[in-house]
Amino acid sequence: MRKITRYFSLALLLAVFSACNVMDQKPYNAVLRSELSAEDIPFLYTGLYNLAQYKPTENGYLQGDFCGGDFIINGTTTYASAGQWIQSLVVPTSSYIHGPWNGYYACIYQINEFIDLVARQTYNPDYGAMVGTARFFRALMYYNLVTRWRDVPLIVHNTEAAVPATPEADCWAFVEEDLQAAIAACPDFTSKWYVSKQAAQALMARALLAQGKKAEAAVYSEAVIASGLFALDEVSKIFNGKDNTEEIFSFRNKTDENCVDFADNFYKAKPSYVPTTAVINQYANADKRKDVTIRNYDGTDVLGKYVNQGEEHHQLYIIRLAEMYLISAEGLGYDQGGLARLNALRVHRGLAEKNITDEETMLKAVIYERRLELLGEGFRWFDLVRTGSSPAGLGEKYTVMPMPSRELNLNHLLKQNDLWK
Amino acid sequence: MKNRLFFMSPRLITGCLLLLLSALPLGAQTVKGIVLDENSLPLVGAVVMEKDGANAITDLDGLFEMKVKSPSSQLTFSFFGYEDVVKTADVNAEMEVRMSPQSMSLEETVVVGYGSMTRRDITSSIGSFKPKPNERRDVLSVDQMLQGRIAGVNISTASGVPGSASRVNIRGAGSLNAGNEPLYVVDGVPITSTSGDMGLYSGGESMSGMATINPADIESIEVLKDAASAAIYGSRATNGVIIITTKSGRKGEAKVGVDAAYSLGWQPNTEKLKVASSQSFIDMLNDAVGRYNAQYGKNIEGFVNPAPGQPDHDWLKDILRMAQCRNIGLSVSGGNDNVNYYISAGVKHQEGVIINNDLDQYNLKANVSGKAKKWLSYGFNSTMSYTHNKRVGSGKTGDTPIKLALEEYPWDLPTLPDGSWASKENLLANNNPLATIKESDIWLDTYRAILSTWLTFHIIKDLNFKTRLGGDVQSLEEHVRYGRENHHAFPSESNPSGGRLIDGRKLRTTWMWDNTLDYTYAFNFGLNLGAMIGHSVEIDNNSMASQEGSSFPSDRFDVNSTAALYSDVTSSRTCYTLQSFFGRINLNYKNRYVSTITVRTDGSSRFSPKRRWGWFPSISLGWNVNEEEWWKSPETTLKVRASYGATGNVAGIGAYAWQALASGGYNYNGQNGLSLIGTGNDDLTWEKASQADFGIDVSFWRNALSIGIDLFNKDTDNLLYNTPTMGTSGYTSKMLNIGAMNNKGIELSIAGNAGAGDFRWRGDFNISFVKNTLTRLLDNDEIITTDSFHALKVGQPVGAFYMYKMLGIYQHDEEVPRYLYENEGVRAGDVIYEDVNKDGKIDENDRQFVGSPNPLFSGGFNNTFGWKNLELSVFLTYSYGNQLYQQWTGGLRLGNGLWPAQQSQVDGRWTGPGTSNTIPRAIWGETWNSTRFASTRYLHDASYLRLRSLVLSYNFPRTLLQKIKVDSLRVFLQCDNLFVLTAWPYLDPEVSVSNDATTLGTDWLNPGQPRTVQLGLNIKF
Repeated sequence: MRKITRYFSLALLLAVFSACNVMDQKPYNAVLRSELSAEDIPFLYTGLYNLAQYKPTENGYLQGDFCGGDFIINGTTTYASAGQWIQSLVVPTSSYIHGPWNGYYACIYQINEFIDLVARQTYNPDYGAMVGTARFFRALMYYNLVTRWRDVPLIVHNTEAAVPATPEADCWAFVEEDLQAAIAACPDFTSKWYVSKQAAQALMARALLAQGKKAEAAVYSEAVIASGLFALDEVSKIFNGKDNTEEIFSFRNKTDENCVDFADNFYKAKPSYVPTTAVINQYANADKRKDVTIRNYDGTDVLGKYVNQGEEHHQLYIIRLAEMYLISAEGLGYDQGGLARLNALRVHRGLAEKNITDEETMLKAVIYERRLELLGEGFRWFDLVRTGSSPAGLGEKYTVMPMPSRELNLNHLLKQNDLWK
Repeated sequence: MKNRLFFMSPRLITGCLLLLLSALPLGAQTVKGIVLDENSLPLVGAVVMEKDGANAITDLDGLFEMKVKSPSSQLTFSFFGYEDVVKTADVNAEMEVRMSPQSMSLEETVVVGYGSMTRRDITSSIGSFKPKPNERRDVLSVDQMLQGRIAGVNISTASGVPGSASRVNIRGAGSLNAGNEPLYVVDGVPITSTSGDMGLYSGGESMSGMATINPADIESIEVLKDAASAAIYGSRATNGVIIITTKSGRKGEAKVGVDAAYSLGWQPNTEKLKVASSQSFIDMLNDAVGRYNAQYGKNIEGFVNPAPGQPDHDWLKDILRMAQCRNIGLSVSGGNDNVNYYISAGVKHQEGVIINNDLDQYNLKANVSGKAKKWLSYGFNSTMSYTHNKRVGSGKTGDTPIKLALEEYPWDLPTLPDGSWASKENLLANNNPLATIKESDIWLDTYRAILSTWLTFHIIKDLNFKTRLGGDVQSLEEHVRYGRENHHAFPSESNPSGGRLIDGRKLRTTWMWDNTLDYTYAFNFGLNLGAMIGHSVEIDNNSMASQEGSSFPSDRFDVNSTAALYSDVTSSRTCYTLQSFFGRINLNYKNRYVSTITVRTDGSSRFSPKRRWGWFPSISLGWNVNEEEWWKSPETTLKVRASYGATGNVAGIGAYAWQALASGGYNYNGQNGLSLIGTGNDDLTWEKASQADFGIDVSFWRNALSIGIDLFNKDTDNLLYNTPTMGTSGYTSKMLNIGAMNNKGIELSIAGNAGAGDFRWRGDFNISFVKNTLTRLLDNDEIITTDSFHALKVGQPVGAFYMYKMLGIYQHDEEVPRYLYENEGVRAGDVIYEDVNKDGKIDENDRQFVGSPNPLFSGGFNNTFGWKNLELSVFLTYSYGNQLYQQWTGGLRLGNGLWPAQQSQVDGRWTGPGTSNTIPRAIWGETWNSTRFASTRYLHDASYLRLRSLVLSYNFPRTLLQKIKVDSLRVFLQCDNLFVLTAWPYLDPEVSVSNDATTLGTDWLNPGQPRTVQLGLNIKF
């Protein structure tokens, strides 16, 4: 009896001490951040693509369409007009507003951490291109932030503290700085799924155009065109997932890699969002874009740019050569080669050349062409804003997004935009 | 039924012996008879006493025989813990005496953590419920069984869907997290009560993690309400502890019991959801368009009834049904001096009121215990179950069938003329509710075993060492199959041949080992000492895998190996551990002064090493005033008790929440990617509650009336919350210890019984008032919105509603503020929202706190009336002061979209000055009145008084049964939910799509409690 008790006491003591080891539990799907090393850098780098692809959400990439007046929500909820729909979307409390905001900053956080981590490692020649890509993504996020909200907090080193907004001009300077670095560090284009020097140049063209630096923008768009790596191609190839020479950078958006399922909202019977009749009617019959951009699905005219075919062709178009033609057209001016770029694109799309003899008509023609060429790729709202119009004629208030009320509640240094006060 | 044989107090035995000795067998007449308990089982050792005359005690079969002085003398029957019965002797026939238990016996055994105590020694607040056959309500799960039975235990069902999760709340909200559930301990094993499903079915609500225990196997349920009683469970005890003890065998001949029941149930109150008729709906839409055209000078065309004269189709009828429920249970129990056993099996088939919703459950149980040697006892308890839960949509999802049915036009039909399904794509306003249900096969299979085995070494007298190994093993398979004619899986570009299957498997195990050493010693000056120390370690492992396949050759193919495409292939594994040391000292001085002191320290792997361990001490004191020598009223007892203690809470925190991690799975183009998930928090620590409790237990007339009162005050600090953070920090939330809250309340229980002749009555009433207040939150001035109509703020209760307040309807255009008139298109007939900041606009700054989903008071009231062998039990539950928000607005939009409308809204809408001050006008395309603001237009009082159950039962006379060798036979008719008195305008006031304390009180047309009529019988032989 006493023996048994003794054995039990012993077993009990053993249990207590062995149990001490089970108190330290580590996850099976993650490593401690403090243990990250040089070996993990390529994986963190790949992770940036995944995060930049999905974190901003669908709205983060296509808000320009939803708020641009050429789309309307479809279903039993009806709005009398696209304008009424925009008014219901663009409110400070809406997730249409804070969803993309949070997504951009979530990416920026990861990029900043990545750049800092690389800086702490001993030099490795592979890091240059990786950091270049990271800075490209950071510029892309800030481009989206600044075009929507103008003055935004500029986070270069991560912090949990409240940060006031940085003036728009300083943000643009930072975007340009990032893109200069990306242009210098990224390799020449080899695959549309990865960031290249040309993608960085193209984004620089877009960022300069956004600031009204049209001539400078054209320098970069011309550089992309002149690289000889791309050529205008058939829209039926581009938007059906075929090999083409037009895409400069697209997210792969594979089904099992945090994909954002655009097709589910656009391309099906009774989709969530449909182009308005007004924009559909703008496509001339000869326009090769017509049958690809607008497709009929079970009796409804829907956007045909995001067509899922099994696991393939989910890609999210970020930069295409057509945009470079249009930036050149706008930047070079009608008499300095701009018209030639515009007409080259039009002819390639099956349309007649235009004969334009003044800058005002030229700008109108370019914006009109952008509307048709880039429908459903997130450009429309800002094209209206930067040319002094307002979406669906809603007035100046709708030329800037309201600061998310969620963010204002948490960050007392941030102020609501004047137009939304 | 407890082990009455073994719990006769020494005092009683002495008393009996004295009585026996004084018995005078004078030549007189003989009386014979039997004494039975409330279950018609023989009472062994009951004392029969003639006034100034003879005495006898009943034998092992409950029989007695004694001589009486007079053939008509009064006999008093008494038994400890039971009400005395006085009957006139009957010398001509065999007497049958039925006794019922006292409402609250001081000798009653109460199970506490790691042991048991008598009620007399209890100094903390413990509610106890021993399900008796005559109060038994046939229910599916333990939580339903407890509903309304114990003061301070508030149980609300999420919906009437079989197997759905309930919210079990002890003494108010305990946490801001999902971790508001009490800890469940089954036969000594702390089990996992969190969600019983994997959440793979996006159309379904969360399923209960407790539905797998067969209520018929339960001997007793103890609810440890205050910190002093719960502190022995340390870090998981803040929300109280529910200890479930399953039945065990008793010494004696083997007994066989059979319980069987059959019921029919249906969804009451569907008339409250009448959809507007075709013509009135079209008229309303035209009214809406007319008003829009007039207001904006537009020329939008009106609508015409597409099927004039065609009878309206009742979509709701299509999906509802008469639900059948049947169950049968069998048990065998018995034992001898060395071994006791209880073995049971049960089968249950329960249908929901919505078609295709069935739950089948099979239970097996074996409890064996005994004495192997003089120094060694052993035991083994097992509870095993298999549940097949065939599900339909419920909760706040688009697939909720009642919602879908109310959102179809009355002129449409579920099928097209060619017999195929009508769909949203070709005809309907919404997804076809019938096709959604019938073209899917969604089920959840759960296999579960709760095991506990122990050895007790009796080292020396009163010193015992117990070692126990326990396990809770759950294996789940979740199967969500949508056919190609289901709207989730129509053939399309991304799903060429249609069909989808989400197939998930999960294995969850909790293993625990605890060792306790306990000792009791009686000092010769009247002090009894009990001491216990122990150690336990628990390891919880979770592993899960699921994959989604689409595009199947046909609907007959039901595994993912036949799918053409895959997505969402995931697998996960987590593990966490808990290690504890604990001890308890019980002191009892002459039964007058009693005290219990406990201490526990817990270490959890969920916290960083520097915050890993927490201390949870408690002390409680009690004074049995009636044990004092100066107490002169033996028929009255009085006890005063007070306690104070600390408990913790860790539920709702991820296994690795404190760690800063870089997670895999962020791949791109087939290459591995990592992402930094969270920044970690070394300082994350326990939520800690300190609770004081003061109680008085008093009983009169030998327990004919007993009253228990408890006052408590509970302060919870270090509240854990996934706090929203600014987007610029890189994350949108962070798990932090951010606040504190207070719960204070009063609980009152009254039990009484009375009888005269063959008539008996017993009543149990309980009521509890709980007031919850958030006392600290970050910097104390924040309002953290937890969803679009709930928010947290210091001074408000957790779960408070925060929204726009509707003041009425503008009756004339002149009343409309100028800004709203010009910019928002507001006119007479539109809703007036209170402009809190008086800036002329209505925006987010005009939201305010408008109420709470928590009741001011709630409780239950049970009455049992007996007359001879007939018994009627009436059980009411009630709740007062709680509000409920109807988040479904589909039928209330009146021209904002083409949604089919509710008849009540169409008929009651504003049509001109003075016509309505509650329902706005119809106006085309404007969101002002409906979807734009979460407002008090949808918030209603959900107080209720429910006739929870009405049971009429009959116990067949023993004399009759003896001829067929049956011990007892009871037949019963049970009606559930016969009425609910409430102001809530929808199906049922007792629903919530969220069981989270911060977002409680939301309805989404959940099916309510069914109304059921049940017939059943219980036999014992």
